[in-house]
Amino acid sequence: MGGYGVEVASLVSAGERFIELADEASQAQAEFSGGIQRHEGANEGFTTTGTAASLATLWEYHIDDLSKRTAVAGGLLAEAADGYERMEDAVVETLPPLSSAD
Amino acid sequence: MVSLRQLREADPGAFDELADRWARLAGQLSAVAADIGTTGGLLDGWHGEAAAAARAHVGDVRSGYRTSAEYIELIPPALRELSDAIETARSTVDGVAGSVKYPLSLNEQTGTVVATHGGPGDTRTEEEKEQDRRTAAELTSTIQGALDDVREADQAATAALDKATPSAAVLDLEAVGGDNIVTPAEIPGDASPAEVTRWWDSLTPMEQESAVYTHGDVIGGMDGIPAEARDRANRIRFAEEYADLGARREHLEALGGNRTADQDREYGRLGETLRGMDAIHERLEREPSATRPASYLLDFSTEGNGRGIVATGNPDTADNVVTSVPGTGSNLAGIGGELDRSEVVLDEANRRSRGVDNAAISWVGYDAPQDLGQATNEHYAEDAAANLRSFQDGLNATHQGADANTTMIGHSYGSTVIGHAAQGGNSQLNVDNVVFIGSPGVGVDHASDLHVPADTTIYASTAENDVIRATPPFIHGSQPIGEDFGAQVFTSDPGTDGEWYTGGYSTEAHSEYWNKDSASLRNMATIVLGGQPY
Repeated sequence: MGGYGVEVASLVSAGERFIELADEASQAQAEFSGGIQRHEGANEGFTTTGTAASLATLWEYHIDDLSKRTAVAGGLLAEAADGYERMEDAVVETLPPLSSAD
Repeated sequence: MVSLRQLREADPGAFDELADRWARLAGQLSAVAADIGTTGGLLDGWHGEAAAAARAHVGDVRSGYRTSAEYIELIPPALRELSDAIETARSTVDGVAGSVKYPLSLNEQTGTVVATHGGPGDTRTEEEKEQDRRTAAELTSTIQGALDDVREADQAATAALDKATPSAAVLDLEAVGGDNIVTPAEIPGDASPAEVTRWWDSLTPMEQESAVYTHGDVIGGMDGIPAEARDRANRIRFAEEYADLGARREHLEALGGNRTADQDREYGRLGETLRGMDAIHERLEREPSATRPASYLLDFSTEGNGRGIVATGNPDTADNVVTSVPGTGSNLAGIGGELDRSEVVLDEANRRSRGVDNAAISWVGYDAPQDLGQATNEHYAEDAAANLRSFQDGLNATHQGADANTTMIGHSYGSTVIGHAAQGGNSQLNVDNVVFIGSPGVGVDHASDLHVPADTTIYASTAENDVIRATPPFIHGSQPIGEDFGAQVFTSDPGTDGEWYTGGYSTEAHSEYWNKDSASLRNMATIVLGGQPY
């Protein structure tokens, strides 16, 4: 079965890989968070200490956001295996509001 | 503002390690951005409205990862420069502090060195006193200079970090708003597994991703959530805890002989916990093959003795699913051995079947008794019963397509756990085959007392030399291999002979059911595949 100019299998593969990549980014973020936890309380009195902790939280939110948006695109593409037309509708409906360009 | 005491107690190595971890994160995000670009090539040639939307979205997130990496790369140099400045300043003030002696004294709070006025017994000349005052002033100046330098470096690092924020990178959160997020209150924590599955299926794709990424600590352990989603949620929180505990253990290891007694105990505990996490990590990272499908982390906890539920193969899509419940002594630290046993059964089942998918689950999902004394107590099994029933109901609820042929294998006290899961009120253990192996008793005296579906088959086997045969019936009831129990008894090899004074029983025979080419292994695999053991 084919979509418009592409094999559905390619879309499914791409979708599955996007989910993996989203999870890789999220796990990298989780490793980072886990690795820095033991330094909590160190370097009291330095303004950099507090700023760095806040920065970690801010980037955690953003990487989380990016990973969600990547994974949701991957999930929609992977569903092409269950029906190309339905996947197309879901992509058009779901993804544009989740892009910064929108 | 940094005080002298804070400077002297500072840990510049912490800033260096933070810098290393930020740098590593930037590298990983950069790699993800590159891989998204490469994967996007699979969309080449696709055209139409959906193609344009997908391509724009993929380009957008790729750009987001790349920009994130670029801005995060600004962080490590700032932290390293601050670390260097602290080292230099501390070296200076430590040198001063070391040189201060009577009649000079150092105020650790203010960083000033003063010359004492002396008293009636002060034999210094006026000239010497003046010299001491000049020396004190010079040393104070040196300390204040070092403090000024480090404060300036601190301000510079803070200013550099302020330029490395997501807002400085002009990145906004996009996946926000009511249609995109799941709040904790919306998660049906007390619902049945079937209700949880219905709730999950009602979520939008974005809400599901929100649940996986933001509420993984809850979603990862919820029966009724599909295995793939549980696995993804658990892998993320596993990565965080694995890194946290690993870093803590490295720190304690570096202390060597300087560890306190408490730190020594913590070091030992962490070693045990990480031994189990290493085994899980190895399974999660293993490349799937035709004979060894991917692993799924269905739950884990490092609390207490620790827990872990790991599937080899996807239980939601497999034709045959076997859940193994281990017995006394099982815990997170030793989960590697349980995973090995489950995979031995899976391998044997795969070897005996063609064209069917099989999945094997190690369910170290309860606080097991840790020694034989504790194993005489049934409360461990009673406490585990509801969780095991719920887990099984979850597997049934999330299975795709035709129902799987499901089997539960309980070894030793694990069989007691399964027995108790099939008791109590109107609760039913919904499984097709129950296997009690090396069982001391399962809390009932007859198979018909177990609350299982009418067509469920109860199997049992105990090796002739298994020491568990010596368990008296008043502890956990009749052993299920007894003629009166009503189970279908299958063959196990006799196992290692014991000494004459043990009546020929041995502890070795209690653990030989998974031996290669053993009758018990062949029979367990046959049951898993829906066949008849001998």
